[in-house]
Amino acid sequence: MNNTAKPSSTGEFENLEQFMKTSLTPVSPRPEFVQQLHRRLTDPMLPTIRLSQPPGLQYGLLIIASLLSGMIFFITASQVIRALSKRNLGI
Amino acid sequence: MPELKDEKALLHAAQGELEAFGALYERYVGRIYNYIYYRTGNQHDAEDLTARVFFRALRNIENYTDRGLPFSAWLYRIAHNLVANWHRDNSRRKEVPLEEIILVRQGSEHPEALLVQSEEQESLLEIIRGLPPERQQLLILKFVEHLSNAEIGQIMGRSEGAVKSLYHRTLLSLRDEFGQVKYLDFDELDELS
Repeated sequence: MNNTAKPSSTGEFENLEQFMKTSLTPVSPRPEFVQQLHRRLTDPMLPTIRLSQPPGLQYGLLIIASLLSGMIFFITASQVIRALSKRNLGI
Repeated sequence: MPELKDEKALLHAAQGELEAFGALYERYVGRIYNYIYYRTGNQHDAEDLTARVFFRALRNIENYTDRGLPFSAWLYRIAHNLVANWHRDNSRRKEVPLEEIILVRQGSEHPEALLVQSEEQESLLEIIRGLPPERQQLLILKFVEHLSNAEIGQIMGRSEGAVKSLYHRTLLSLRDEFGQVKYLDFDELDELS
């Protein structure tokens, strides 16, 4: 961006600031929204959803379970293949 | 609950007093909503994210540590992070209906003048939403919340001088971005009014 191409006159900035003042004006949230959220935040009887991160232990168990089931699958599959091969060879 | 100062309300809220948290909520909900509204450009997402900010604050208020910064700085930081996630998840730029950003003005101005003005405002807001997040935050805090550079610095974790410098660079880039937009042609508006 070439900022030196244009003179940075004070008047230009003042106009820009003035325009931002008139454009960026506060907006009000809907009163119903504000009240409803207030109720949800402060009423202990209302249920709240808590999303908890799975702890590291759970991740570890998941990995171990995956490895074990993979090994069982591999052993079973190799036994089936061996049995089929023996039958085909007529042993 | 009688008017509590932020520090006292925080202390009570951290001990699980929902009423104290409610008082803090009422004090800051408007400001946080405004900030998010101008960052997202629509009411629906502004409401959704505002609710998330306060639920996250409620969940973490026990761990809040007073570092000498105003409570609002903490809320703005949560809002800033949530808006950043929102932009990441919605990488496409959302269309903002014109009627949502036409601001109601007092007095009876000429309809044509209002239209020209609202189009220019739309251009300005679009350009502002295209700025880097920190610059958007600075402009919102300065023009919507009317905070001083020192207060903005506290919220943004920068020195007052750094805020001034960032503001100047932001004005320069806004001026360049605006380019051909007739934002400075207020004479035309005066004639129409």
